[in-house]
Amino acid sequence: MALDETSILGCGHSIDEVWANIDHPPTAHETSCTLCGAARQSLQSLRAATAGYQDLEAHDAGPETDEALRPRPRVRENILAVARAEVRRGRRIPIAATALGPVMLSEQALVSLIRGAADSVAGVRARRISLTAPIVAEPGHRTGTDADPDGGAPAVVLEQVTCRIAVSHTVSAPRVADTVRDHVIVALSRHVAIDPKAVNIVVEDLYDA
Amino acid sequence: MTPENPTEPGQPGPALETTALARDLGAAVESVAGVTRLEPTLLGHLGRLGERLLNTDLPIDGQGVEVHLNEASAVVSVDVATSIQRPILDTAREVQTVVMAVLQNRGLQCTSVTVSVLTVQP
Repeated sequence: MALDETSILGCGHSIDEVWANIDHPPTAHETSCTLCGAARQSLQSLRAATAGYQDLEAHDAGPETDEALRPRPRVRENILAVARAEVRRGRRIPIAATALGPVMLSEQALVSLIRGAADSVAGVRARRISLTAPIVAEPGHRTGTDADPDGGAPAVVLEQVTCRIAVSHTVSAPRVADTVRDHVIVALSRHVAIDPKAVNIVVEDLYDA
Repeated sequence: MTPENPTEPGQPGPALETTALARDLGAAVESVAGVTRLEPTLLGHLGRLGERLLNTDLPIDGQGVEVHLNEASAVVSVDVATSIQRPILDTAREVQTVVMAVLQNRGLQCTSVTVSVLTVQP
């Protein structure tokens, strides 16, 4: 199974950062960010389960644990990589319902789509992508520009997308910001028939071309 | 895969039929343009490790294709990674069509095919 080795959430924070703060109250960002909030919740479940198994092991095996039962480092790393990948995916959003059944998209895939659209603009490097939690409205209130031909699709309402980008010093920042916005809107419409209500572009840095 | 009537290890039956069907469905799904791979979940990954350790051929959940068989009908869930080169909804719809075709070839009625796109690749 191919794995993405990075552990960066769509908002730009890493799983490791969330994990490092797991014993403390959530930060202001973690409180407001749906991706970090979901990751924190999953990691808390993981920690509780791990602690439970460790207690069981301590009670069943006593102080001398059986080393033969411990997974090899490579196996353990592989499992942790899969676990991180699963946490990064976030929740699944219903984006269409055909006659054969529903089509879902993970939050991570949605963020990847937006990041790819921003990165496709010459002179732009996408940084943090954040979005308000997509809301599934009642069927019949579809907001996408490309209505599902199968009908009956749930309407996914995306209030706000924010793309933080760095731009080359050789390009006009206002012009590329407009282009990035257009690319994001077109990509969301073409791929998942979602029409966001607002796409905010924040140019937060310049880089040498 | 979650069989309705699991069998004892080593005995052919509904559980192994479900396993074989899921494997056929997985191969068909991976042949769809725009699908880059099936996406096993953590549960599926752990199940695969267990399969190797126990040398068993029993169904394992979370391998990217889950089949629930109920007499002559099937409910299927597919988790995939897709390419950004093709519209995601087009890919997902074709996955549903391909799954339905495989089921029909086996004389099964398709109740529902849920497609989850978990990863989008450049």
